Amino acid sequence: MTSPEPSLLRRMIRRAIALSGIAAALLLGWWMRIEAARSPDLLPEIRLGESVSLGRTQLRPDSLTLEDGRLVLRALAENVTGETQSSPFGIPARPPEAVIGDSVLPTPEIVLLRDQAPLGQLQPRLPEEISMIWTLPEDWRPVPVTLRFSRETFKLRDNLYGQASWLGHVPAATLTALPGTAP
Amino acid sequence: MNLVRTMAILLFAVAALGAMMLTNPGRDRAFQPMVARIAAGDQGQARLFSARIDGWHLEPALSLPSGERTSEGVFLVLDLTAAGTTESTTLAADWIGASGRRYATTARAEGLPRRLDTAWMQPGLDSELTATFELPEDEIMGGALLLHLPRMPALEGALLMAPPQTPPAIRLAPVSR
Repeated sequence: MTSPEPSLLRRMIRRAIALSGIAAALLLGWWMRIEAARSPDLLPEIRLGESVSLGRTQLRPDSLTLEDGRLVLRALAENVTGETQSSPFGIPARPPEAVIGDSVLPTPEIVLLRDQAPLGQLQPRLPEEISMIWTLPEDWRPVPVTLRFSRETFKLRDNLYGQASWLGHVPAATLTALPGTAP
Repeated sequence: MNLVRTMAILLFAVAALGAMMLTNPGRDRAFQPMVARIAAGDQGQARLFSARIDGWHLEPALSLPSGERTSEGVFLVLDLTAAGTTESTTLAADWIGASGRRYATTARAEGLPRRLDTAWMQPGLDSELTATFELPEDEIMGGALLLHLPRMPALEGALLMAPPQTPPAIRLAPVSR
């Protein structure tokens, strides 16, 4: 016993539903490409005193100075998560990069302003004033320095385990300033 | 009529799938240590360790061999007695604050003796230890101590210990140990 052939109207409805799904997918993909092209990847340029989110940490650069042949960035760092962070600049740690011309300075030493102890942990709700210290080359002349900040991305359920994770670093902002002299 | 019934079944299936996806516990919730709640003053017993809170106090600053360490908040110091059960083990501690935030033992107490996070618990031997936390003062009352094996292995025992009922005394001057 064979089932009767569906009516023309029913077949048309089914095909229209299938076609509308395909058309919606195509249109969505097309629109996403247009949106991506409309917003070019320009990094926000921040100034001293403005905060930038680095993922686990919110950083507010306050001053950039020269002290004893070293470049010192004073900043306020705040842990914005709900737990102690032993690596406030992400894992692997990626503190701000100081760029002079085309050269990137080595990783800075980071200490607490309060007692000059190394920054080991950031506790929630306890913002810390910190100093990031770069040793400058001997032949360095005062020129504007660009600081590049990167941010970790939070994913509530990662693809591997379905657990909350901080994944990868993406550029977050830049700051360009001429170092002043320490007060 | 058949089309309506098919659509209803499909809708029900989509709703059921969505409900399952939304309520399915993630790895963070599904794979946790087994936490036992311990009342104030009681001895807690996990598979690999036992522990008891003997007292607590606050210090506004820590006096270390490398210098004084101050804080934007306070240093909460808990005095503990802990031991291993069947094998030697190390422990880690977190303070679960009144707001639910989680504070690990502070790395700024490096150099203090009898630190919990550097000691080994031996089976049958009681060790007197301290766990020091750096935190805002309003996270203390209403909080609790979570003792666990380092890295919080899933399905292992952990103790959520209520602190003493009396508020911690404040030591105004830093105390050398």
